[in-house]
Amino acid sequence: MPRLSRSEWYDLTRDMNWDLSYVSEDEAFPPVLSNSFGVPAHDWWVWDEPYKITYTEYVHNQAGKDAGVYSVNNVLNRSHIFDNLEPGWKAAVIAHYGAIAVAEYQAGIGEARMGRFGRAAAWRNMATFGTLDETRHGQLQTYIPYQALAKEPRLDWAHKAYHTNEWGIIAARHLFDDMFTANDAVSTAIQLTFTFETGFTNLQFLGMAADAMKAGDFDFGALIASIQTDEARHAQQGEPTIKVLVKAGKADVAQNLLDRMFWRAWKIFALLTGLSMDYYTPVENRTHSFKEFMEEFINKQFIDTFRDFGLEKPWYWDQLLNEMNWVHHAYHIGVYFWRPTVWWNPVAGVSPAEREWLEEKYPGWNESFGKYWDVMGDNVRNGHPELTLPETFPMVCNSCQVPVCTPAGYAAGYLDSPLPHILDFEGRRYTFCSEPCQWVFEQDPEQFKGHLSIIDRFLGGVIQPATIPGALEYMGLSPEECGVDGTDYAWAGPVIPAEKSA
Amino acid sequence: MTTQLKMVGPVVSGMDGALAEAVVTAIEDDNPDLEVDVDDQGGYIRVQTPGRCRITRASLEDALGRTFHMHELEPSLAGFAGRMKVTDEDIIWYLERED
Ligand SMILES: [Fe+2]
Ligand SMILES: [Fe+2]
Repeated sequence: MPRLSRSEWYDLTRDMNWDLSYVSEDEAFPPVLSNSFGVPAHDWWVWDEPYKITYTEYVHNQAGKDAGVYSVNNVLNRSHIFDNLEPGWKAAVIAHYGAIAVAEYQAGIGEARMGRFGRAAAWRNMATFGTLDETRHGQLQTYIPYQALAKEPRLDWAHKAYHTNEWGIIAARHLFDDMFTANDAVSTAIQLTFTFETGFTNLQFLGMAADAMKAGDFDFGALIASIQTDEARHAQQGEPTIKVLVKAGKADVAQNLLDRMFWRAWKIFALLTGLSMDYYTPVENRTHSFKEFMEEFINKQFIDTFRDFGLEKPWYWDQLLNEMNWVHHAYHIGVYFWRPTVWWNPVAGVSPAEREWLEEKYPGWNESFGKYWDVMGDNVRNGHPELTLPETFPMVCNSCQVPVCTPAGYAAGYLDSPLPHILDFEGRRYTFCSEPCQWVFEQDPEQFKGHLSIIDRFLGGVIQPATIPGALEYMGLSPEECGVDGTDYAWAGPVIPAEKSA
Repeated sequence: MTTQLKMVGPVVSGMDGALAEAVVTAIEDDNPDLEVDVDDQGGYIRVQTPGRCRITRASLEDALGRTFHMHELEPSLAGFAGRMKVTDEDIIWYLERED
């Protein structure tokens, strides 16, 4: 029997669009779940995915991908590879699992929403694959860390993190709720699949895969590279959605959705990937700097694609280029200093060889950020590591939920003022780390105005007792789980004996 | 404004070395007039040509020495630069805008 080639039957089998007669369009597609932005129902039906796959092919591919990841994992599990990883690499991996694993399941909620409320049958079909993909990512990234729990109890945070109010998780949850857990289907296609998955996930899942192979962590490298092949496919829901909006004269809608989420994603990836690439990955295993990865995957690859639809770089482009020089260096000092508030063991990553690398990749680093590390190093060498630990908390941005680092940006010569951005709105004062963060808030104040940052909760009496131990308990960090220096201060060199330093 | 063509093409995972090599060979065969740029980072390999990059099923079959279906590329296709058009016989990565 002659077989039809796929292209001859594919469109027919997936185009299950029909006109509604028993219910109104708004009943079947409530705007809160699927905002059409005024594009008529039939105009969505031209939605055509550039990356076509049948269910049979999907199942075949996914089974093969899983077999690959689990076989690498099975082989390596018998060795003692986790024990032999460098402390910095362990910090990067443990931070990754906590920040990402359960968020994958939540991304599955967003995909499932598009699977039901996407405005074309072709789209709902792709989103159904996306739902299965994200479930797979959640399963893999809770299962693999679970195996090494006996070696590293902090890997429990792969599952635990999103059930806590740890500050980094509050920031990630604030981002992801806005992006997919509590977003409508059309906006999700632009903000999750296009902005986030075509753009930013490459940094953490491909950039770190390259570093993983060099660090000898084949298990992690195979895992995240395999996940990214799913992302590359289901991220293709963004392009046809943008095309429908542009064709309907709604390019401004697509541009606005992207501008909002691009900045938000930048802040969280500067925190997660920025620290992992430029400080945690052992210096001899680094493929590129975080800034170089941003330039390759975002500033070129992603923006070229986005501009190809006739859209433009976000309005704050110069501010992005500015922050790429300094903001994650400031975040790293903050995370290291406030290390009891994170679930991994940060390493300083500022030994002489590492400082040389940082100076080469970020000219001026020694003069600006190196100075802070000089002081912390002196305190450690003089036998006072307790002086490298916090007694108070920083201001946190009411948009990205990350500590405000404007004083460090100012001191390093990148900002004109050390002051944060302030907005008084309906009787409440909001603080922002940057102009785009304030702009994001102002795009939808109804969505954001009720949220309390970790510092609002601390000062407002939600966290009791209002002390550092009280806050750590509130964040779900038992004394055994609180982050400590990952190298036990080896980076600072030997402690100077008391008689000599006196 | 420069009108230099932007680089497009796949980013393949380094996990399946044989397939990654076949992709490079096939793209060289399928784009004879274009300079093929290969950036091997171990964990991923970026293969690019200026403006438009094509890979065909036939060239992949030649390079691999076995039958191959276009969808079998997905487990190695970790990303790509440009936009993508997929048929049963080939994939084309491209960008239209020139500025
Ligand atoms: Fe995912
Ligand atoms: Fe995804």
